Amino acid sequence: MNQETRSLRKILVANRGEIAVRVIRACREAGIATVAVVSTADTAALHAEMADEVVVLGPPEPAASYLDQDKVLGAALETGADAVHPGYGFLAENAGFARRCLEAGLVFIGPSPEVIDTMGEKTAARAVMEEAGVPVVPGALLPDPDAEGGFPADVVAEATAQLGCPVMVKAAFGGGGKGMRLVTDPQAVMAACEAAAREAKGAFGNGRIYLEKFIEQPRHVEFQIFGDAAGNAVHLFERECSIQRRHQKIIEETPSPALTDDLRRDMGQAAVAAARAVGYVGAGTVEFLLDPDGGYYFLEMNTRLQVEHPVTELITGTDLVRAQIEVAAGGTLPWRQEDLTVHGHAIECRVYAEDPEQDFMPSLGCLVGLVEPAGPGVRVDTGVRRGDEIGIHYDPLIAKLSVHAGDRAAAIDRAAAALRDYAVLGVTTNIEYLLAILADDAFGRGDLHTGFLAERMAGWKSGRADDSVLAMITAAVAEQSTASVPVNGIDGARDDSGPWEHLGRFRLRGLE
Amino acid sequence: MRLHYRIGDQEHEVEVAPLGDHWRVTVDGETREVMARRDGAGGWLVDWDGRRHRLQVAAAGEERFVFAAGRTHRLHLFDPDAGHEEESTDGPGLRANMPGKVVRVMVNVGDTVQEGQPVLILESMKMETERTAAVAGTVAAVHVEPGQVVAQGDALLDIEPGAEA
Repeated sequence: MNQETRSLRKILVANRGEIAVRVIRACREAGIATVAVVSTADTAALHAEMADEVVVLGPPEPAASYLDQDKVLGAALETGADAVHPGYGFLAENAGFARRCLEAGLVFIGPSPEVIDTMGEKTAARAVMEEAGVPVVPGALLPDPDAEGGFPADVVAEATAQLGCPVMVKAAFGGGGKGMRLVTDPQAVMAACEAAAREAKGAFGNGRIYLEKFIEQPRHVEFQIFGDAAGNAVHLFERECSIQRRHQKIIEETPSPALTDDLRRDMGQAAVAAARAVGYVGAGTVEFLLDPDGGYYFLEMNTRLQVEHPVTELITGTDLVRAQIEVAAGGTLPWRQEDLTVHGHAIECRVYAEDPEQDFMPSLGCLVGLVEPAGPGVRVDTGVRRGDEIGIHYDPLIAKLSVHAGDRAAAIDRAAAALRDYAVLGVTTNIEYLLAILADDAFGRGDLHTGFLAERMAGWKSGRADDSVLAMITAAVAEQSTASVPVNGIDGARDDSGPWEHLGRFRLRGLE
Repeated sequence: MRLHYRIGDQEHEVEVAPLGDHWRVTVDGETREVMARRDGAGGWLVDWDGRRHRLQVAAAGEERFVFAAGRTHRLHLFDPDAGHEEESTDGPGLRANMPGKVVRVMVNVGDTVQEGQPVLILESMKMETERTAAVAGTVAAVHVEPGQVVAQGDALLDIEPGAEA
């Protein structure tokens, strides 16, 4: 099949932080020029310094910078970029933005606007999946609420009977949990639907409700898929992402301890069928819920590269961002299904500047000390450096720490050792909390489900009170040892270092 | 050298004196000898309690951060002879612990509140946080209104401690 290929010589990365760094790295390896965009809070950020050109978009608030389509497009056109890589979050799944890129003659590194639209709406996505023969979570879309905000009693009763209780009441057009309720008593379903419809109408302007079978203790297992413009589609196996707190993933791994080879093959085929059903081009993820009996159901599809893609890269030896760029330029997939195999086990831990003892409130401050772990099988994806400020405007992600080892037990050991070596000073982090999860018996056995953290880690407390005497001793000795009290920075850095430390982050352009 | 650290709401006194390759340290009256030296990479090696520990120390203003094996300790260095500092704690009043926007104020001046009662909702970094009264008492003053942007340390409301309702 004849394909239009387009040479991508310059890519604008419409994002920030670690994913911008990731994409810029891939571009540099491919010999492609890069344009970074920044808000005024990010002018000295790592991703800005790594790029060949930088365009300042506006003030820190995302709406005035990273989410401002006019400014981002303007930057792409003014710098002569060929393509835009949206990363994840921000404009990555904004069909309107994708459309505007195409209209402006830019390549959007992602699927088509139509696919983004279809997969973005739950019931449309489910309908496509059902057509393609992919199992979906059994559900029923209720008719529009009537003038009084009510639903026909017989319809609700029948849906409830068919799905069984407990049942999830959800907004058809919503997200973020608004309108969502779990109902255990069949008698309470109608009232829950009416309340949810009111909430949804208020939040999204649309009170359409659907009922979904509630799957107890599900595991979140997602499949990485990839398609090209020639119609090829493959899966790059699964990721188990059941370690979630309030629907936010904090530990992901692959392979999933719950999947047999047969189940992996079946689910992989279903994921590929999903990709083919919509003519998917680029990287995408098909999310499934896996019930304790091994039944799997389509949950949703994410039309972007995901945060947790490193673990897939580690076990398959692939570069997904590089592949995104090649496919977006019109190339065919770099792998056939038979070329892809799983090697070893990978785990990713998301290190956040947050305080697990204060309801995970973000911990703001300057990273006065930062020492990243290293060693065989240790990978750190970060967008921050020592001296950077963790502020209020963006996600408080410090880094994604991923490890790769021969098997799951070795990967857990490696992840824990790496976390213990990850020195972050100046803000509170969730590192100790992550260590506690890795040390948990059930985690070690692979007995995971989406309620794991709520069940096993509720009320977790740091053990740092036990070490406070040691901490004070060390701080005092350090204080006494330095000629003058250091204003900022790791103690001893001034004394021990040569002249290079004082140059700071000085780089000679073009000589890296 | 004698130093005073505040950790959380506890205050401590630490004295250190170098003894060749050792240190004599006294923490809250208890004295012991420890071996402590810099490692080659800006960190510290401390032999204590029968084990070797590897730590990192960093400073920012009066804050001292000590990291060891995944745990970070935050120590506040203070001078006990100086006047009692204004600390942004949940004393009788409520202060913003981070910059954000006031979403909702759930009490009025004159209301009686219980310890732990939600009184205000702050939004920061796309998350809403519910702030609660640290003590039981009466709301003496409300300094903010919904929609108002606050900086870290800003006073939100004052509570006059008193008997519970």
